[in-house]
Amino acid sequence: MNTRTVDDTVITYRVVHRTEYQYEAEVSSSYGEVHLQPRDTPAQRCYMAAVSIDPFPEHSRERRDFHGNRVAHYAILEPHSRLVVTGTSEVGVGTREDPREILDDLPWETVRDAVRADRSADGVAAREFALPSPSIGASLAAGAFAAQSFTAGRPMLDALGDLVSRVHREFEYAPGLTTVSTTLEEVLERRVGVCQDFAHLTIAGLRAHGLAARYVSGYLETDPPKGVPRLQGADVSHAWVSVYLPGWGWVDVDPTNDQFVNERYVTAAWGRDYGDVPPLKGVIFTQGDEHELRVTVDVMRIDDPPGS
Amino acid sequence: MTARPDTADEPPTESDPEEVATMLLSRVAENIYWAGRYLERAEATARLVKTHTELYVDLPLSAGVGWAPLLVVTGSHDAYQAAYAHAREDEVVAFLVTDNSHTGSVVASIGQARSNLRATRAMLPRRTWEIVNELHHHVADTGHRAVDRRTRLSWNEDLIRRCHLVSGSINATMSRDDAFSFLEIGRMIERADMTTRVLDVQAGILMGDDGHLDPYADLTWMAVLSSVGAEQMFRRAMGGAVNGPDAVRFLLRDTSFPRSVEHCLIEVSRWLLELPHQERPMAGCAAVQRSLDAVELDALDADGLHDFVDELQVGFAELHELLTGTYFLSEELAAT
Amino acid sequence: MTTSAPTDLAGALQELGPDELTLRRVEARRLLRDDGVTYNVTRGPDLGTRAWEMDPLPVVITSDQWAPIDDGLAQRARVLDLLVTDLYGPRRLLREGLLPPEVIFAHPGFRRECDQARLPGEHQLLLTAADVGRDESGRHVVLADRTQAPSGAGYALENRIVVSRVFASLYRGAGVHRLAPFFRTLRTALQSVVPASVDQPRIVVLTPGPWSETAYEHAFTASYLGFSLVQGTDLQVRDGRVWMRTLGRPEPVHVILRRVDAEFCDPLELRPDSKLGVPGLVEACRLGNVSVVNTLGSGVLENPALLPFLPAICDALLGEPMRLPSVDTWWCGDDTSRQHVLGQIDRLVLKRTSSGSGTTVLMGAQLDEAARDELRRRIESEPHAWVGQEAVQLSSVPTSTDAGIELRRSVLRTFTVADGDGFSVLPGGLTLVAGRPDDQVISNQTGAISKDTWVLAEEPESLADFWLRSGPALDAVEPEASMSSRAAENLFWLSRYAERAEGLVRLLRVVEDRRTEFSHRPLDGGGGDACVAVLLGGLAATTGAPVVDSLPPLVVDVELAGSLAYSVRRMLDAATEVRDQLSIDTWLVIGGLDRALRAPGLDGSLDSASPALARVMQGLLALAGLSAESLVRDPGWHFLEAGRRIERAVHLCSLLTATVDERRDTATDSLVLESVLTASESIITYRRRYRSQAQLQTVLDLLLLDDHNPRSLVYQVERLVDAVGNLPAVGTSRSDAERRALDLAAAVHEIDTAQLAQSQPDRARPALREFLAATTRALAAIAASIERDHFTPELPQQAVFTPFTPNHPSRGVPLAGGGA
Repeated sequence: MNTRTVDDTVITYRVVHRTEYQYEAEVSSSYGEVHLQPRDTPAQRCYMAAVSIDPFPEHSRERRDFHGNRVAHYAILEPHSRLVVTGTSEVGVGTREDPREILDDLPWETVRDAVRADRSADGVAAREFALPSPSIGASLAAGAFAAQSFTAGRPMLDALGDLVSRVHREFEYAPGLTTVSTTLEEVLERRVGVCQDFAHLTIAGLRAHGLAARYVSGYLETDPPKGVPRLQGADVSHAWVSVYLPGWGWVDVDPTNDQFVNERYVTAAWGRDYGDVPPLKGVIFTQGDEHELRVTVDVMRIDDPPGS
Repeated sequence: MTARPDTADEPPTESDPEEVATMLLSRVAENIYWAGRYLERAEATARLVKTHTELYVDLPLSAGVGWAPLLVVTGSHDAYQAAYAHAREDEVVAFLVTDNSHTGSVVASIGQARSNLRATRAMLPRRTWEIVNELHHHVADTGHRAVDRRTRLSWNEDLIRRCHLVSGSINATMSRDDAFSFLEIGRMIERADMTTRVLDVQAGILMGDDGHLDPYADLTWMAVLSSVGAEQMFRRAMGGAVNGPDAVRFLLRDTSFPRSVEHCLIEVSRWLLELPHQERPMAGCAAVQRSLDAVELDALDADGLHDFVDELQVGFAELHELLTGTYFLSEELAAT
Repeated sequence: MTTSAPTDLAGALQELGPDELTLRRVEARRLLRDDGVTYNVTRGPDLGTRAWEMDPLPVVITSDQWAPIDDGLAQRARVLDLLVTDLYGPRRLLREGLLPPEVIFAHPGFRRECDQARLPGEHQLLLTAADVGRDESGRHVVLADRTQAPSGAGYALENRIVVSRVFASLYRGAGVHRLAPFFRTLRTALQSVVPASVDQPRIVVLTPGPWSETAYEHAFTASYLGFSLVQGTDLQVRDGRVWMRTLGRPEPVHVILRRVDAEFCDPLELRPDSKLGVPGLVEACRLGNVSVVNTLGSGVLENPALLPFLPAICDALLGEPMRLPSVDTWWCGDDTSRQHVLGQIDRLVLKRTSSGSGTTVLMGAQLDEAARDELRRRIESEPHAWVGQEAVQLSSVPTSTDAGIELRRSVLRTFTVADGDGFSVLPGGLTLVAGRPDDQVISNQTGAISKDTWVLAEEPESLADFWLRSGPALDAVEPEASMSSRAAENLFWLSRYAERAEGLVRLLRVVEDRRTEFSHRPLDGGGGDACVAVLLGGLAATTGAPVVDSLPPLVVDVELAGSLAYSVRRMLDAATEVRDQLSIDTWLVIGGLDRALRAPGLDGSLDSASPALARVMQGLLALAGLSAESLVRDPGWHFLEAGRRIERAVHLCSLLTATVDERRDTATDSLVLESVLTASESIITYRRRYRSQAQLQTVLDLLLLDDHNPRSLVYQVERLVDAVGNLPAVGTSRSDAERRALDLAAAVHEIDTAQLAQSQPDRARPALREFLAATTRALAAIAASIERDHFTPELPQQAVFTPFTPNHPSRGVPLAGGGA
């Protein structure tokens, strides 16, 4: 098992994720849940995480969800026409172990069989991620797409790398063309999407092969183009894929950027698919049906983390 | 004017609206008062028969429920014994519902209500008279269905519905004049009387006689409540579970329930106020109300309840006498 | 068999003969109709509300036959209870390999949101149902478990009430186990999960609303147990607790007996598009502030894929063998079982276990080869989501049908309820028989017929069964606190529509009388045609409907706003929403109204409508009688009363405005006034008082100012003042509605009818017109105040998600060190 602690933190980030709703008509009450506080993982430690909600909620509480993520519940029962939810956190990220050093030529079928046989607590829990989920239904098309990478006897990590590269190569990154409700079949058909679509597609392909794969939501530090000053709020939340390798643990890959996840990634939460860990979801009561949404994310390195 | 069959048989009289109230003949007033009592008695008896039949069916043979209690509640035990040897189901029901020779039966009550109202029909909205008349013909034509147990419940339910129709029609259309007052007073006294009789007969059960737990006590309580049309209202007001003291309090003193004794008395005094010379009957009504307010229901055991109900019934009888003395014995109200 | 009782009973039933049996069926149907027992078909071609289908011939089971079922189901409920406790707790059974994780994780009933949430007390499962069948060998097997929000117990009780009446003597003599103790135990069980430290627990029944399949039962159960019946919109989560929006201040709710499927219960955490739930409910459950029964996660137990594993689970959890078998079931997630299923696909029943709601069921025997191949492919691609089950040849029971007694396949749905540290089984239950002789599937949605089930008691029931176990009585609650504002709103509208209908019937009858009269005497007197025209104008004004020359649409056209059928329909809708608030007597009357207007032979002619009109009128009057005589004067009654008075006053004002606001020739005026008096049920009083042809001033005296006339304006306004004064307090001072009603009463008392009756040279009566218009405005303002103060309409509910990174700037640049 990968039981790395984060003593060897290499980078500390400050993440500010701000969501603002401006409603057309007054909202009488609003209930919500946010996944904005990064969890601890073998490769990261969250030093500080706070969610501020404006208007001040009548009830709010933080808890751990089924998958161990930190989730904050809130209820606002006074009329309001603007809602701002800001998650602020400081997270130390260490280097991740490279599974290739250990699992170099294990055939993927062996991994698949091991998933089904794993009786460890982690193994039993991981079997949930080999099944279809509400937003990633069983997809023959996604299975067929992945099958081109998962040829008989191919080493697991080789096949996984190939699948991720093909997603990166064959699909165009195009914001605004897909939504939460776009199906995998449509993504496959149109060959466009955003990181969420690519993560879902990759997960569906892996699950079709009996492998356990989960959806990870988080942040990626980005560099401004050369010569352009770094703009506040220019970063984004991000999503990628984590795959269970029995006996080793979970390995994270990013199909959007065709790479293994490294110390420039901050994990917020994980689940079966996007639906388990949206940054913010809620129910509001209002006469209006229009609202304006503004989301900004900042991922900044800080030099002096608390507790270091 | 076009056809007006409804007033054709009425002798022309004076027509000053202010004076009509004082011109009510005592004969007319008494007729209407008794019509109110008979109508109420018919409905209450039908309800009792229906409820008792349901209870009887619902309890196993071993519970030993018979038909005599119905005779006791309706106060017709002696009259029945004069005619029959045993309290057999079909005979008791026939006696209480269809027997025209028994003045307390449903059919006889409706017949008397109708003949009283016919004599005074000018006082009634035409529809109300028609409805009572229809009711009379209906019970005469279909009374046989009231006894057979298979059709008994539906017949009695239908009768209760028709009685609602009568009261709905009276409430919706009858002028709030003296005639209305007498009708209401009659109905309310009869209703209060019937509620107390039911309580009296079931007092042992309601008050948990000498610690003996009757296995069917709660079924019986429910039957007590529903025999005065109170079951569902009681559930709603009291949140479901039944117990004896609550049921007694609800039936006697809950002013929000229109069939409680207290409510009936309030109504009696309210309509008395509309009448001239109401001082003595009003005092009689107030006396009953006072004893109702004074009694500590929680402290009553079965015997205590029994005695208290006796006291109430004596009060009702006195109230009736006062009404008779004040209104019904003289030639004209205006002259008393 | 130890007794010959069932044989006797069967013999006695047989001896009835076909004619007698038909009579009893008719009687049973009438009783069900009168009680308004209905079932809503929500799928398929026969959508809508229909009468509950019941064959009164009971299924009789001896105590010997029943004992193993009783024992087996009680044990089964214990196993399921412990199983669900483990699944939302330690999940030991998964780790120990007694249950493949896929069976749980892939099932939509497994609610991750409810993990580690616990009800107080011993049980996590309070009420279960099982469908039990008897196979060809006479063995009883459990076909399915219902653990979410089992339906049918209320119908079973209703069936019992009816059958015990229809077969009164037989029932009484047979010594049949009672059903009532089961419901008493249910009450106790619900009280046992009240969160700690609550003194005055409030228990409610949560229904999806009057249009759900078993809405009748929800209202019946709530009323029988004495709990408030609420919809999701009646509840609100505040401070992590559940509150009921009542007429008074919000009242805390501690236990919710839900009849809503779990996924619809909380749009925040479960289905975002559900309008039937309460946002924040799951959080309130997790906090232990409310107990939802059965728990929101209990649906996972309905998964048929659990069945093959139950015997081993029973052994592990209870240390005893499972005593009542389940139908033979193979879970395709297991390789060996899958091979068996694929090989026997032509004779098995195939069920997809994880379809969103409900279960896909396919009969292998009924599929052609191509369909079977397709099914095999589906199973292979998603094996964990399929089971194959033995197709049980269910035994048949004698069923009385239109064609006489027939044998129909049957299944028994019965129930268990947590009782002490174990479970009690309902002695009896709902037997369902196939709607047609050859039906294999028995479902209410496909026309199954229900029967009562008599379990014969070996010996007379003990005292304990009847009495000793009844739970502690709940304290009486303030009436304001037990009525939701939704219920109050519906009562208000119920009486407004009833009164509107009544006013219309009266007016229609007058119009028709006048027409008949003058069609026979075209030359007589004069003014007849003009009078009819004026009255038609009155109809138009009071209904707001376009009045054409033919009146029938105004009676029967349910789509025409203002028509009689429309008002009656609206009234029924309102009544349906508050069914639990209405007594059976009331429901009898209301049901009769609907039938009157839907009676056959209503072909649109007024002749055919006239008996219907008479019946509607009778129903409306009976309703008024009930309201006056039998309803508790609680806040609901005052809403009824306020609605009635407002509507009657508005009707009167519109009628007068349309008919007497201008002077016509004497003959016409006289006819019109007389008609108005008739339509206002005041003609007799008028004649008795005035002994003359109708004159406007005296008519106005009687219709506006006479406080003895129950149809006069002043009478309505005074009753309205009373009613609004008795509505629950809004703030500390007089409510707006009350102030306005008092102002209106003062204004009405001040009028001078002589002045109002005066006409101008142009024949108009401006003073009268202005007074009536002002009164109508004041009434509308009072109604608006009542609505604003007491009926808190919840704003429309919407789900919001942050869509994924809407302003994603550009694709990230691949970084050095990337993989593959």
